[in-house]
Amino acid sequence: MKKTLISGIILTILGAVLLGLGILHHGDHNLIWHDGGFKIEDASIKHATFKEVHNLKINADDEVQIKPYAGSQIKVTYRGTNTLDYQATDHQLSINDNSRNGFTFNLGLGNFAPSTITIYVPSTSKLNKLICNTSGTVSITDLNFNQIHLSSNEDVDLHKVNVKDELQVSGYSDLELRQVSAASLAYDSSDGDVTINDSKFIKGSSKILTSDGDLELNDSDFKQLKLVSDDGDLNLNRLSISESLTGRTSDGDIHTTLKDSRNLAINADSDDGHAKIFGKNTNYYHQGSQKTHYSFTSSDGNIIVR
Amino acid sequence: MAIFGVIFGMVVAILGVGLAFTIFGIIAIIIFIIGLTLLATSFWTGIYYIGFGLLVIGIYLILIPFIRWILMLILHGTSLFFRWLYTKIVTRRTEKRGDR
Repeated sequence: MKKTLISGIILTILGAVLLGLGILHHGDHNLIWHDGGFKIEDASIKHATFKEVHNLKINADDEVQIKPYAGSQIKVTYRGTNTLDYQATDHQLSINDNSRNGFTFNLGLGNFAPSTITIYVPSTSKLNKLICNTSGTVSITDLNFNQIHLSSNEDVDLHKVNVKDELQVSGYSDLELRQVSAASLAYDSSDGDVTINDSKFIKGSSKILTSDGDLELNDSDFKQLKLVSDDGDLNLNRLSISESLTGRTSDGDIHTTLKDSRNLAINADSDDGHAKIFGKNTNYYHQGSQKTHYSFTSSDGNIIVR
Repeated sequence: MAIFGVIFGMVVAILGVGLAFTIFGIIAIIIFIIGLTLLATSFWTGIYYIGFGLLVIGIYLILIPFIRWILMLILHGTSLFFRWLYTKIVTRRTEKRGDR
């Protein structure tokens, strides 16, 4: 037993020394299983530039970031283990990542950032169409598009983005919009929270559907809005609705703070909870021309309109 | 009856911990071997993985005497308990026969 203990101590010290030397000499790389053996992950940053791109199509398993810059061409940088395929024809740039068959192995001791595709768009240009399917997060900042179709299994974050037509987002993702404008919004998610702040969707009918998630909308403008969550709360604060708002949750509370209590009609139905409109226990309220209609339904939760 | 449930739970827990311990040990050996294969192509990455493998194996070797001691303690305690239980049952039966 004593010999085992002594051997253990010696091996531990030797191991710690070798591990330290490995880290000191930057040997703490990810390994990737490829072609029947472990190889060191190539995480170097690769660049590519493209002229006169109007449409962007991305199919990837990586994090995608799209942001403006002062240059005149579309610039793509990629940090990750896969290789990217680029196809640039008819003003369309298609980016596909060739996911390697295998798995990445690391000891979790080094600095291992997720694979990221960063697309730099000239700040003066307006892209026509963006189609992006990825299993990673998507982040778009300070850009203008005619159309955006996003599908992601991770978070989608748009900040200061203008879309001429409908903004479409789907997948299993959380959605966060800040200062975004589009004709309308279509969001359909199996599992995701939605947070929208200071945004405008005033030309069409918007829909936000989630099977499991909370919806929080603040200081935003909509023409028509339909909100559905199978399991989550609805928090709606200071929204401007020009025509109608329908909010339904199967299991959750609905809290609404309206900007104005004039020229509107409110229906609030809760199967297993109480409804309160402007401090009164009632499920119906109307005032003036009833230009705007609000309808709130909760199968299991309270509805409070202030 | 409850005491048998506790003993059963302890046995399952010991087996679970033992299995996890074994699996991590095997992984450490595999990491060590991976490190050896990398030495020719990337020396310092090989050293890094060999170091990690040796460190884990060393910790295991240090832990083995303690684990053995804890296991012996548990086994000894269990055997003492069953001996006590056996004595109690046999004594009660003998007392009942004596009453007749």
